[in-house]
Amino acid sequence: MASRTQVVCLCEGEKGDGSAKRTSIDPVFINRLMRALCPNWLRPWNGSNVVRLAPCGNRKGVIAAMPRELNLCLNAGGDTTLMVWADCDHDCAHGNALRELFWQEAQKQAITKQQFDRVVFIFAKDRLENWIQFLSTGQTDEASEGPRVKHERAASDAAKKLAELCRAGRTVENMPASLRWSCENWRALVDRMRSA
Amino acid sequence: MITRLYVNNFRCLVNFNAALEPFAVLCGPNGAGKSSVFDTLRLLRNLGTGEALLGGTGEHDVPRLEFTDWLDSSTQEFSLGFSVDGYGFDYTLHIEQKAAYEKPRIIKECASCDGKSLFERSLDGVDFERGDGTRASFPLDWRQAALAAIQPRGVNLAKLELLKTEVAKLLILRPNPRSMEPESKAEARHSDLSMTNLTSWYRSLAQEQEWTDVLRDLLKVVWPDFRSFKLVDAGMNTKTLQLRFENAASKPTLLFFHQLSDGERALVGLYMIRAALETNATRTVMLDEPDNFVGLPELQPWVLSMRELLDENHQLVLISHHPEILSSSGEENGRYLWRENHTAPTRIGPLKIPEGMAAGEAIARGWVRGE
Repeated sequence: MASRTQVVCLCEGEKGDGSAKRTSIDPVFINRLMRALCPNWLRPWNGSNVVRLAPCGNRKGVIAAMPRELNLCLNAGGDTTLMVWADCDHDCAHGNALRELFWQEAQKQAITKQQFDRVVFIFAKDRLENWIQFLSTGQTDEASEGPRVKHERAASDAAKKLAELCRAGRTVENMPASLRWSCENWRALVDRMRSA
Repeated sequence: MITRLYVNNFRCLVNFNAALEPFAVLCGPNGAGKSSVFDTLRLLRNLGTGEALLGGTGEHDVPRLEFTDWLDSSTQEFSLGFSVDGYGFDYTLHIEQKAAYEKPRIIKECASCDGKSLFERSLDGVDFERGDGTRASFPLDWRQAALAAIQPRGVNLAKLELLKTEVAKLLILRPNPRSMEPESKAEARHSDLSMTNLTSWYRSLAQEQEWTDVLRDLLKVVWPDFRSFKLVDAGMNTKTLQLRFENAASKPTLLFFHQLSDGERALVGLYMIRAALETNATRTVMLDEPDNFVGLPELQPWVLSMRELLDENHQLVLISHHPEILSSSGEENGRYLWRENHTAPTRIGPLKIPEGMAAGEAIARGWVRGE
Protein backbone atom coordinates (compact mmCIF):
# COMPACT_ATOMS: atom_id res chain seq x y z
CA MET A 1 0.00 0.00 0.00
CA ALA A 2 1.20 3.47 -0.78
CA SER A 3 2.24 5.61 2.13
CA ARG A 4 0.36 8.63 0.83
CA THR A 5 -3.11 9.13 -0.53
CA GLN A 6 -5.56 11.54 -2.07
CA VAL A 7 -8.99 11.50 -0.48
CA VAL A 8 -12.04 11.27 -2.71
CA CYS A 9 -15.20 11.88 -0.68
CA LEU A 10 -18.58 10.70 -1.83
CA CYS A 11 -21.28 12.50 0.05
CA GLU A 12 -24.90 13.47 -0.01
CA GLY A 13 -25.72 16.92 -1.31
CA GLU A 14 -26.35 18.84 -4.47
CA LYS A 15 -24.70 17.39 -7.56
CA GLY A 16 -26.59 19.64 -9.89
CA ASP A 17 -28.98 17.02 -11.21
CA GLY A 18 -32.09 17.91 -9.29
CA SER A 19 -31.77 14.96 -6.91
CA ALA A 20 -31.16 17.19 -3.88
CA LYS A 21 -33.44 20.20 -3.68
CA ARG A 22 -31.74 21.88 -0.74
CA THR A 23 -28.13 22.89 -0.83
CA SER A 24 -26.30 20.62 1.58
CA ILE A 25 -23.79 21.81 4.13
CA ASP A 26 -21.99 18.47 3.85
CA PRO A 27 -19.42 19.44 1.18
CA VAL A 28 -18.35 22.52 3.14
CA PHE A 29 -18.13 20.58 6.44
CA ILE A 30 -16.16 17.70 4.92
CA ASN A 31 -13.84 19.94 2.92
CA ARG A 32 -12.96 22.08 5.95
CA LEU A 33 -12.54 19.03 8.22
CA MET A 34 -10.18 17.26 5.85
CA ARG A 35 -8.15 20.37 5.17
CA ALA A 36 -7.93 21.22 8.87
CA LEU A 37 -6.83 17.68 9.69
CA CYS A 38 -4.29 17.86 6.88
CA PRO A 39 -2.74 14.45 7.56
CA ASN A 40 0.89 14.29 6.48
CA TRP A 41 0.32 11.14 4.48
CA LEU A 42 -1.79 12.84 1.83
CA ARG A 43 -0.61 12.14 -1.70
CA PRO A 44 2.93 13.27 -2.54
CA TRP A 45 1.95 15.91 -5.07
CA ASN A 46 0.11 18.48 -3.04
CA GLY A 47 -2.34 20.95 -4.41
CA SER A 48 -5.71 22.37 -3.67
CA ASN A 49 -7.56 19.29 -4.95
CA VAL A 50 -5.92 16.84 -2.58
CA VAL A 51 -9.43 16.44 -1.20
CA ARG A 52 -12.04 15.99 -3.92
CA LEU A 53 -15.73 16.14 -3.01
CA ALA A 54 -18.18 14.22 -5.17
CA PRO A 55 -21.73 14.98 -4.05
CA CYS A 56 -24.15 12.26 -5.17
CA GLY A 57 -27.52 13.80 -4.39
CA ASN A 58 -29.18 11.61 -1.77
CA ARG A 59 -28.09 8.51 0.15
CA LYS A 60 -29.41 6.23 -2.58
CA GLY A 61 -27.12 8.03 -4.99
CA VAL A 62 -24.12 7.56 -2.69
CA ILE A 63 -24.79 3.82 -2.36
CA ALA A 64 -25.17 3.43 -6.12
CA ALA A 65 -22.02 5.42 -6.89
CA MET A 66 -19.75 3.75 -4.34
CA PRO A 67 -18.68 0.56 -6.20
CA ARG A 68 -17.83 2.39 -9.41
CA GLU A 69 -15.94 5.10 -7.52
CA LEU A 70 -14.06 2.49 -5.48
CA ASN A 71 -12.99 0.75 -8.68
CA LEU A 72 -11.83 4.07 -10.12
CA CYS A 73 -9.84 4.82 -6.96
CA LEU A 74 -8.31 1.33 -6.90
CA ASN A 75 -7.37 1.64 -10.57
CA ALA A 76 -5.79 5.00 -9.80
CA GLY A 77 -3.45 3.19 -7.41
CA GLY A 78 -2.71 3.43 -3.73
CA ASP A 79 -2.45 7.20 -3.95
CA THR A 80 -6.20 7.47 -3.60
CA THR A 81 -8.51 6.63 -0.73
CA LEU A 82 -12.29 6.62 -0.97
CA MET A 83 -14.30 8.09 1.87
CA VAL A 84 -18.06 7.72 1.95
CA TRP A 85 -20.20 10.16 3.92
CA ALA A 86 -23.90 9.44 4.38
CA ASP A 87 -26.73 9.46 6.90
CA CYS A 88 -28.10 6.36 8.65
CA ASP A 89 -31.60 7.90 8.66
CA HIS A 90 -34.57 6.10 10.18
CA ASP A 91 -34.01 2.77 8.39
CA CYS A 92 -30.52 2.02 9.70
CA ALA A 93 -30.15 1.87 13.46
CA HIS A 94 -26.38 2.34 13.40
CA GLY A 95 -23.37 2.68 11.14
CA ASN A 96 -22.77 -1.04 10.73
CA ALA A 97 -26.30 -1.52 9.40
CA LEU A 98 -25.74 1.13 6.73
CA ARG A 99 -22.30 -0.26 5.98
CA GLU A 100 -24.01 -3.56 5.25
CA LEU A 101 -26.21 -1.84 2.61
CA PHE A 102 -23.08 -0.55 0.94
CA TRP A 103 -21.48 -4.00 1.12
CA GLN A 104 -24.49 -5.59 -0.57
CA GLU A 105 -24.26 -3.09 -3.43
CA ALA A 106 -20.49 -3.59 -3.66
CA GLN A 107 -20.87 -7.35 -3.99
CA LYS A 108 -23.16 -6.89 -6.98
CA GLN A 109 -20.26 -5.08 -8.65
CA ALA A 110 -17.72 -7.84 -7.79
CA ILE A 111 -15.90 -5.77 -5.16
CA THR A 112 -13.89 -8.05 -2.83
CA LYS A 113 -14.05 -7.86 0.96
CA GLN A 114 -10.43 -6.72 1.09
CA GLN A 115 -11.15 -3.90 -1.38
CA PHE A 116 -14.32 -2.92 0.44
CA ASP A 117 -12.51 -2.71 3.77
CA ARG A 118 -10.30 0.06 2.40
CA VAL A 119 -13.26 2.42 2.16
CA VAL A 120 -13.54 4.85 5.06
CA PHE A 121 -17.19 5.23 6.08
CA ILE A 122 -18.37 8.31 7.94
CA PHE A 123 -22.06 8.09 8.85
CA ALA A 124 -24.15 10.59 10.80
CA LYS A 125 -27.38 9.37 12.35
CA ASP A 126 -29.83 11.71 10.64
CA ARG A 127 -27.83 14.65 9.41
CA LEU A 128 -24.54 16.36 10.18
CA GLU A 129 -26.62 18.94 12.06
CA ASN A 130 -26.46 16.81 15.22
CA TRP A 131 -22.69 16.75 15.08
CA ILE A 132 -22.58 20.49 14.48
CA GLN A 133 -24.90 21.06 17.44
CA PHE A 134 -22.66 18.88 19.60
CA LEU A 135 -19.48 20.59 18.43
CA SER A 136 -21.03 24.02 19.02
CA THR A 137 -22.77 23.40 22.35
CA GLY A 138 -21.33 20.16 23.73
CA GLN A 139 -24.78 18.53 23.65
CA THR A 140 -27.02 16.84 21.15
CA ASP A 141 -29.63 14.12 21.04
CA GLU A 142 -29.36 11.94 17.97
CA ALA A 143 -32.83 10.59 18.60
CA SER A 144 -34.11 13.74 16.92
CA GLU A 145 -32.71 15.79 14.06
CA GLY A 146 -30.45 18.64 15.11
CA PRO A 147 -31.50 22.21 14.28
CA ARG A 148 -31.07 23.14 10.63
CA VAL A 149 -27.75 24.93 10.09
CA LYS A 150 -28.57 28.22 8.42
CA HIS A 151 -25.18 29.26 7.19
CA GLU A 152 -22.22 27.37 5.83
CA ARG A 153 -19.83 29.31 8.04
CA ALA A 154 -21.34 27.52 11.07
CA ALA A 155 -20.68 24.16 9.42
CA SER A 156 -17.12 25.20 8.68
CA ASP A 157 -16.51 26.40 12.25
CA ALA A 158 -17.81 23.11 13.64
CA ALA A 159 -15.56 21.15 11.27
CA LYS A 160 -12.55 23.07 12.57
CA LYS A 161 -13.50 22.16 16.13
CA LEU A 162 -13.82 18.49 15.22
CA ALA A 163 -10.39 18.60 13.57
CA GLU A 164 -8.93 20.10 16.77
CA LEU A 165 -10.48 17.32 18.88
CA CYS A 166 -9.26 14.72 16.45
CA ARG A 167 -5.71 16.06 16.32
CA ALA A 168 -5.54 16.22 20.11
CA GLY A 169 -6.81 12.60 20.25
CA ARG A 170 -9.00 13.52 23.21
CA THR A 171 -11.85 11.36 24.40
CA VAL A 172 -14.89 13.57 24.61
CA GLU A 173 -17.85 12.89 26.85
CA ASN A 174 -21.34 12.87 25.32
CA MET A 175 -19.96 12.37 21.84
CA PRO A 176 -22.82 11.23 19.60
CA ALA A 177 -22.62 7.51 18.89
CA SER A 178 -22.47 8.02 15.12
CA LEU A 179 -19.61 10.48 15.46
CA ARG A 180 -17.69 8.08 17.73
CA TRP A 181 -18.24 5.23 15.23
CA SER A 182 -17.06 7.43 12.35
CA CYS A 183 -14.00 8.65 14.25
CA GLU A 184 -12.97 5.02 14.82
CA ASN A 185 -13.10 4.43 11.07
CA TRP A 186 -10.97 7.50 10.46
CA ARG A 187 -8.45 6.38 13.09
CA ALA A 188 -8.25 2.96 11.44
CA LEU A 189 -7.23 4.70 8.20
CA VAL A 190 -4.69 6.80 10.09
CA ASP A 191 -3.18 3.67 11.67
CA ARG A 192 -3.14 1.93 8.30
CA MET A 193 -1.32 4.84 6.67
CA ARG A 194 1.16 5.16 9.53
CA SER A 195 2.06 1.49 9.43
CA ALA A 196 2.45 1.47 5.64
CA MET B 1 -25.50 41.30 2.34
CA ILE B 2 -27.89 42.15 -0.49
CA THR B 3 -31.22 40.46 0.11
CA ARG B 4 -33.30 42.01 -2.67
CA LEU B 5 -32.86 43.91 -5.91
CA TYR B 6 -35.51 45.74 -7.96
CA VAL B 7 -34.70 47.37 -11.29
CA ASN B 8 -36.96 48.99 -13.86
CA ASN B 9 -36.06 50.46 -17.26
CA PHE B 10 -32.34 49.59 -17.25
CA ARG B 11 -31.33 47.78 -20.46
CA CYS B 12 -33.29 44.49 -20.48
CA LEU B 13 -34.24 44.74 -16.80
CA VAL B 14 -37.89 45.73 -16.62
CA ASN B 15 -39.83 45.40 -13.39
CA PHE B 16 -37.04 42.99 -12.41
CA ASN B 17 -37.14 41.53 -8.90
CA ALA B 18 -34.51 39.22 -7.43
CA ALA B 19 -34.13 37.79 -3.93
CA LEU B 20 -30.62 36.73 -2.98
CA GLU B 21 -29.22 34.32 -0.37
CA PRO B 22 -25.68 34.35 1.07
CA PHE B 23 -24.66 32.10 -1.84
CA ALA B 24 -26.17 32.51 -5.28
CA VAL B 25 -25.21 31.47 -8.79
CA LEU B 26 -26.74 33.39 -11.70
CA CYS B 27 -26.85 31.39 -14.90
CA GLY B 28 -28.62 31.40 -18.23
CA PRO B 29 -28.04 31.98 -21.92
CA ASN B 30 -25.98 34.83 -23.38
CA GLY B 31 -27.93 38.07 -23.47
CA ALA B 32 -30.21 37.00 -20.63
CA GLY B 33 -29.22 40.01 -18.53
CA LYS B 34 -26.88 38.46 -15.94
CA SER B 35 -24.12 41.01 -16.36
CA SER B 36 -26.70 43.80 -16.43
CA VAL B 37 -27.65 42.80 -12.89
CA PHE B 38 -24.05 43.31 -11.78
CA ASP B 39 -23.78 46.54 -13.79
CA THR B 40 -26.84 47.84 -11.94
CA LEU B 41 -25.14 47.16 -8.63
CA ARG B 42 -21.94 48.82 -9.82
CA LEU B 43 -23.92 51.88 -10.83
CA LEU B 44 -25.61 52.06 -7.42
CA ARG B 45 -22.34 51.49 -5.57
CA ASN B 46 -20.46 54.12 -7.54
CA LEU B 47 -23.23 56.69 -7.07
CA GLY B 48 -23.80 55.72 -3.42
CA THR B 49 -20.14 56.14 -2.53
CA GLY B 50 -19.78 59.41 -4.39
CA GLU B 51 -17.28 57.92 -6.82
CA ALA B 52 -19.63 58.64 -9.69
CA LEU B 53 -21.72 61.63 -10.73
CA LEU B 54 -24.60 61.60 -13.17
CA GLY B 55 -23.76 63.43 -16.38
CA GLY B 56 -20.04 63.64 -15.61
CA THR B 57 -17.21 62.56 -17.85
CA GLY B 58 -14.92 60.99 -15.23
CA GLU B 59 -13.87 57.34 -15.28
CA HIS B 60 -16.77 56.17 -13.09
CA ASP B 61 -19.29 58.85 -14.03
CA VAL B 62 -22.56 58.12 -15.80
CA PRO B 63 -22.72 60.42 -18.84
CA ARG B 64 -26.10 59.10 -20.03
CA LEU B 65 -28.66 56.56 -18.90
CA GLU B 66 -29.14 53.21 -20.62
CA PHE B 67 -32.88 52.75 -20.91
CA THR B 68 -34.86 49.76 -22.02
CA ASP B 69 -35.24 50.11 -25.82
CA TRP B 70 -38.91 49.28 -26.05
CA LEU B 71 -40.16 51.32 -23.07
CA ASP B 72 -41.31 54.89 -23.44
CA SER B 73 -40.12 56.19 -20.10
CA SER B 74 -37.32 58.54 -19.15
CA THR B 75 -37.06 57.30 -15.54
CA GLN B 76 -35.04 54.42 -14.13
CA GLU B 77 -35.99 52.92 -10.79
CA PHE B 78 -33.73 50.96 -8.49
CA SER B 79 -34.32 49.50 -5.06
CA LEU B 80 -31.99 47.43 -2.90
CA GLY B 81 -32.56 45.48 0.30
CA PHE B 82 -29.62 44.90 2.63
CA SER B 83 -29.15 42.87 5.77
CA VAL B 84 -26.35 44.33 7.88
CA ASP B 85 -25.49 43.22 11.41
CA GLY B 86 -29.10 42.20 12.06
CA TYR B 87 -30.65 45.38 10.61
CA GLY B 88 -32.79 45.41 7.48
CA PHE B 89 -32.05 48.34 5.16
CA ASP B 90 -33.88 49.53 2.06
CA TYR B 91 -32.38 51.95 -0.43
CA THR B 92 -34.30 53.41 -3.37
CA LEU B 93 -33.05 55.58 -6.21
CA HIS B 94 -34.93 57.04 -9.18
CA ILE B 95 -33.03 58.81 -11.92
CA GLU B 96 -34.22 60.42 -15.12
CA GLN B 97 -32.94 61.80 -18.39
CA LYS B 98 -35.68 63.48 -20.39
CA ALA B 99 -33.72 63.88 -23.63
CA ALA B 100 -30.38 62.77 -25.03
CA TYR B 101 -29.05 66.35 -24.90
CA GLU B 102 -30.05 66.79 -21.24
CA LYS B 103 -28.00 65.60 -18.30
CA PRO B 104 -29.41 62.80 -16.17
CA ARG B 105 -30.49 63.69 -12.63
CA ILE B 106 -31.66 62.07 -9.41
CA ILE B 107 -35.35 62.76 -8.83
CA LYS B 108 -35.96 60.55 -5.82
CA GLU B 109 -33.76 58.84 -3.26
CA CYS B 110 -34.52 57.41 0.15
CA ALA B 111 -33.19 54.93 2.69
CA SER B 112 -34.76 53.25 5.70
CA CYS B 113 -33.65 50.91 8.46
CA ASP B 114 -36.12 48.34 9.81
CA GLY B 115 -38.92 50.42 8.27
CA LYS B 116 -37.79 53.73 9.83
CA SER B 117 -36.75 56.48 7.43
CA LEU B 118 -33.08 57.48 7.45
CA PHE B 119 -33.41 60.19 4.82
CA GLU B 120 -35.59 61.28 1.93
CA ARG B 121 -34.51 63.24 -1.07
CA SER B 122 -36.46 64.91 -3.88
CA LEU B 123 -35.67 67.61 -6.42
CA ASP B 124 -36.11 70.12 -3.57
CA GLY B 125 -33.33 68.66 -1.45
CA VAL B 126 -32.46 66.16 1.25
CA ASP B 127 -34.48 65.78 4.45
CA PHE B 128 -33.32 63.67 7.39
CA GLU B 129 -33.52 63.31 11.16
CA ARG B 130 -30.51 64.36 13.20
CA GLY B 131 -29.22 62.31 16.11
CA ASP B 132 -31.10 64.57 18.57
CA GLY B 133 -34.44 63.95 16.82
CA THR B 134 -34.70 67.33 15.08
CA ARG B 135 -35.19 67.51 11.31
CA ALA B 136 -32.59 68.92 8.99
CA SER B 137 -32.56 69.56 5.28
CA PHE B 138 -30.18 70.84 2.65
CA PRO B 139 -30.20 71.31 -1.11
CA LEU B 140 -28.07 68.95 -3.14
CA ASP B 141 -26.74 68.83 -6.67
CA TRP B 142 -29.13 66.64 -8.69
CA ARG B 143 -26.16 64.74 -10.13
CA GLN B 144 -24.97 63.54 -6.74
CA ALA B 145 -26.39 60.78 -4.50
CA ALA B 146 -27.48 61.91 -1.02
CA LEU B 147 -26.24 58.63 0.44
CA ALA B 148 -22.69 59.81 -0.24
CA ALA B 149 -23.35 63.41 0.84
CA ILE B 150 -24.87 63.07 4.33
CA GLN B 151 -22.24 63.20 7.04
CA PRO B 152 -23.02 60.48 9.58
CA ARG B 153 -23.29 61.75 13.15
CA GLY B 154 -25.75 60.71 15.84
CA VAL B 155 -27.74 57.56 16.52
CA ASN B 156 -29.81 57.34 13.32
CA LEU B 157 -26.88 58.40 11.25
CA ALA B 158 -24.78 55.58 12.72
CA LYS B 159 -27.20 53.27 10.97
CA LEU B 160 -26.74 55.29 7.80
CA GLU B 161 -23.01 54.78 8.18
CA LEU B 162 -23.60 51.01 8.35
CA LEU B 163 -25.47 51.20 5.06
CA LYS B 164 -22.82 53.40 3.46
CA THR B 165 -20.06 51.04 4.54
CA GLU B 166 -21.97 48.06 3.21
CA VAL B 167 -22.43 49.75 -0.15
CA ALA B 168 -18.79 50.83 -0.25
CA LYS B 169 -17.62 47.28 0.47
CA LEU B 170 -19.53 45.78 -2.44
CA LEU B 171 -16.94 44.03 -4.56
CA ILE B 172 -18.11 43.56 -8.14
CA LEU B 173 -15.51 42.02 -10.40
CA ARG B 174 -15.02 40.36 -13.76
CA PRO B 175 -11.40 39.15 -13.41
CA ASN B 176 -9.37 39.28 -16.60
CA PRO B 177 -5.75 38.24 -16.03
CA ARG B 178 -4.74 39.49 -19.47
CA SER B 179 -5.54 43.04 -18.49
CA MET B 180 -3.82 42.93 -15.09
CA GLU B 181 -1.09 45.54 -15.09
CA PRO B 182 2.45 44.45 -14.14
CA GLU B 183 3.20 47.62 -12.17
CA SER B 184 1.49 49.88 -9.65
CA LYS B 185 2.08 53.58 -9.15
CA ALA B 186 -0.07 53.94 -6.02
CA GLU B 187 -2.27 52.03 -3.61
CA ALA B 188 -5.87 51.47 -4.65
CA ARG B 189 -8.55 50.94 -2.02
CA HIS B 190 -10.73 49.12 -4.53
CA SER B 191 -10.13 46.74 -7.35
CA ASP B 192 -11.51 47.85 -10.69
CA LEU B 193 -13.91 45.65 -12.64
CA SER B 194 -11.32 43.55 -14.51
CA MET B 195 -8.77 43.61 -11.67
CA THR B 196 -6.51 45.63 -13.96
CA ASN B 197 -5.12 47.37 -10.88
CA LEU B 198 -4.53 44.13 -8.93
CA THR B 199 -1.05 45.13 -7.77
CA SER B 200 -2.32 48.51 -6.57
CA TRP B 201 -5.14 46.78 -4.70
CA TYR B 202 -2.60 44.34 -3.25
CA ARG B 203 -0.56 47.30 -1.95
CA SER B 204 -3.62 48.59 -0.12
CA LEU B 205 -4.79 45.26 1.32
CA ALA B 206 -1.27 44.22 2.33
CA GLN B 207 -1.26 46.93 4.98
CA GLU B 208 -3.30 44.47 7.04
CA GLN B 209 -0.91 41.77 8.17
CA GLU B 210 -3.79 39.35 8.75
CA TRP B 211 -4.83 39.62 5.10
CA THR B 212 -1.29 38.96 3.91
CA ASP B 213 -0.96 35.91 6.17
CA VAL B 214 -4.30 34.48 5.04
CA LEU B 215 -3.44 34.96 1.37
CA ARG B 216 -0.03 33.34 1.74
CA ASP B 217 -1.50 30.31 3.54
CA LEU B 218 -4.20 29.92 0.90
CA LEU B 219 -1.76 30.06 -1.99
CA LYS B 220 0.58 27.58 -0.28
CA VAL B 221 -2.18 25.01 -0.60
CA VAL B 222 -2.62 25.77 -4.29
CA TRP B 223 1.12 25.83 -4.99
CA PRO B 224 3.06 23.87 -2.36
CA ASP B 225 6.31 25.52 -3.45
CA PHE B 226 4.96 29.07 -3.01
CA ARG B 227 6.64 30.96 -0.16
CA SER B 228 5.89 34.66 -0.24
CA PHE B 229 5.08 37.89 -2.04
CA LYS B 230 7.35 40.89 -2.28
CA LEU B 231 6.67 44.37 -3.60
CA VAL B 232 9.76 45.35 -5.58
CA ASP B 233 10.68 48.92 -6.52
CA ALA B 234 10.32 49.51 -10.25
CA GLY B 235 10.80 53.27 -10.43
CA MET B 236 9.51 56.43 -8.78
CA ASN B 237 6.70 55.27 -6.44
CA THR B 238 6.23 52.31 -8.75
CA LYS B 239 6.08 48.77 -7.40
CA THR B 240 5.80 45.42 -9.02
CA LEU B 241 4.72 42.18 -7.39
CA GLN B 242 7.15 39.32 -7.10
CA LEU B 243 6.45 35.75 -5.97
CA ARG B 244 9.00 33.47 -4.37
CA PHE B 245 8.83 29.73 -5.02
CA GLU B 246 11.04 27.24 -3.27
CA ASN B 247 11.35 23.49 -2.91
CA ALA B 248 13.89 21.10 -1.49
CA ALA B 249 15.09 19.91 -4.88
CA SER B 250 16.09 23.22 -6.45
CA LYS B 251 17.15 26.80 -5.82
CA PRO B 252 14.49 29.38 -4.92
CA THR B 253 12.80 30.95 -7.94
CA LEU B 254 11.63 34.55 -8.08
CA LEU B 255 8.90 35.30 -10.60
CA PHE B 256 7.32 38.63 -11.32
CA PHE B 257 3.53 38.63 -11.38
CA HIS B 258 3.44 39.19 -15.14
CA GLN B 259 5.59 36.08 -15.65
CA LEU B 260 2.81 33.87 -14.28
CA SER B 261 0.37 32.26 -16.68
CA ASP B 262 -3.08 33.75 -17.26
CA GLY B 263 -4.63 31.05 -15.06
CA GLU B 264 -2.11 31.59 -12.28
CA ARG B 265 -2.71 35.34 -12.29
CA ALA B 266 -6.45 34.69 -12.14
CA LEU B 267 -5.91 32.38 -9.16
CA VAL B 268 -3.91 35.02 -7.30
CA GLY B 269 -6.81 37.41 -7.90
CA LEU B 270 -9.43 34.92 -6.72
CA TYR B 271 -7.55 34.08 -3.54
CA MET B 272 -6.95 37.79 -2.86
CA ILE B 273 -10.74 38.12 -2.91
CA ARG B 274 -11.07 35.06 -0.67
CA ALA B 275 -8.62 36.56 1.85
CA ALA B 276 -10.47 39.91 1.67
CA LEU B 277 -13.75 38.18 2.53
CA GLU B 278 -12.16 36.33 5.46
CA THR B 279 -10.63 39.48 6.91
CA ASN B 280 -13.78 41.60 6.33
CA ALA B 281 -12.10 43.88 3.81
CA THR B 282 -15.20 43.04 1.82
CA ARG B 283 -18.47 41.40 2.81
CA THR B 284 -20.39 41.02 -0.44
CA VAL B 285 -18.58 39.61 -3.44
CA MET B 286 -20.08 39.53 -6.93
CA LEU B 287 -17.97 37.77 -9.54
CA ASP B 288 -18.78 37.57 -13.22
CA GLU B 289 -17.38 34.32 -14.63
CA PRO B 290 -14.54 33.73 -12.16
CA ASP B 291 -13.98 30.34 -13.82
CA ASN B 292 -12.48 31.87 -16.96
CA PHE B 293 -8.79 30.93 -17.23
CA VAL B 294 -8.83 28.81 -14.03
CA GLY B 295 -7.91 25.12 -14.31
CA LEU B 296 -10.50 22.48 -13.47
CA PRO B 297 -8.66 21.12 -10.39
CA GLU B 298 -8.75 24.56 -8.77
CA LEU B 299 -12.43 25.43 -9.10
CA GLN B 300 -14.08 23.25 -6.45
CA PRO B 301 -11.45 24.05 -3.80
CA TRP B 302 -11.87 27.77 -4.41
CA VAL B 303 -15.68 27.69 -4.41
CA LEU B 304 -15.79 25.61 -1.22
CA SER B 305 -13.25 27.85 0.46
CA MET B 306 -15.49 30.83 -0.35
CA ARG B 307 -18.69 29.10 0.73
CA GLU B 308 -17.27 28.24 4.15
CA LEU B 309 -17.16 31.97 4.98
CA LEU B 310 -20.77 32.71 4.08
CA ASP B 311 -23.33 33.75 6.66
CA GLU B 312 -25.83 36.58 7.16
CA ASN B 313 -22.99 39.11 6.82
CA HIS B 314 -20.89 37.52 4.09
CA GLN B 315 -22.22 36.88 0.60
CA LEU B 316 -21.00 35.43 -2.67
CA VAL B 317 -22.91 35.87 -5.93
CA LEU B 318 -21.43 34.28 -9.04
CA ILE B 319 -22.29 34.49 -12.71
CA SER B 320 -21.13 31.30 -14.33
CA HIS B 321 -21.64 28.92 -17.24
CA HIS B 322 -19.20 26.38 -15.79
CA PRO B 323 -20.64 22.91 -15.00
CA GLU B 324 -18.47 22.61 -11.88
CA ILE B 325 -19.94 25.80 -10.41
CA LEU B 326 -23.47 25.11 -11.66
CA SER B 327 -23.36 21.72 -9.96
CA SER B 328 -22.54 23.34 -6.65
CA SER B 329 -25.64 25.53 -6.72
CA GLY B 330 -28.89 23.72 -7.41
CA GLU B 331 -32.43 24.91 -6.96
CA GLU B 332 -31.92 26.66 -3.64
CA ASN B 333 -28.98 28.83 -4.67
CA GLY B 334 -29.13 28.72 -8.45
CA ARG B 335 -30.97 31.51 -10.26
CA TYR B 336 -31.82 31.04 -13.92
CA LEU B 337 -32.18 34.18 -16.06
CA TRP B 338 -33.71 34.20 -19.52
CA ARG B 339 -35.54 36.28 -22.12
CA GLU B 340 -38.11 35.13 -24.62
CA ASN B 341 -36.54 37.27 -27.37
CA HIS B 342 -34.47 40.43 -27.83
CA THR B 343 -37.42 42.71 -27.13
CA ALA B 344 -38.54 40.85 -24.04
CA PRO B 345 -37.45 41.64 -20.48
CA THR B 346 -35.20 39.48 -18.33
CA ARG B 347 -36.99 36.97 -16.18
CA ILE B 348 -35.52 35.14 -13.20
CA GLY B 349 -36.44 31.96 -11.35
CA PRO B 350 -34.94 29.07 -9.42
CA LEU B 351 -32.55 26.79 -11.30
CA LYS B 352 -34.71 23.72 -11.80
CA ILE B 353 -32.82 20.76 -13.22
CA PRO B 354 -34.63 17.70 -14.59
CA GLU B 355 -33.91 14.82 -12.22
CA GLY B 356 -31.03 12.60 -13.28
CA MET B 357 -29.37 15.21 -15.48
CA ALA B 358 -26.30 17.33 -14.75
CA ALA B 359 -27.00 21.07 -14.56
CA GLY B 360 -24.56 21.94 -17.34
CA GLU B 361 -26.08 19.36 -19.70
CA ALA B 362 -29.63 20.46 -18.92
CA ILE B 363 -28.77 24.10 -19.63
CA ALA B 364 -26.89 23.15 -22.81
CA ARG B 365 -29.99 21.32 -24.05
CA GLY B 366 -32.26 24.23 -23.16
CA TRP B 367 -34.20 22.05 -20.77
CA VAL B 368 -33.98 24.45 -17.88
CA ARG B 369 -36.68 27.00 -17.26
CA GLY B 370 -36.80 29.25 -14.27
CA GLU B 371 -40.58 29.00 -13.98
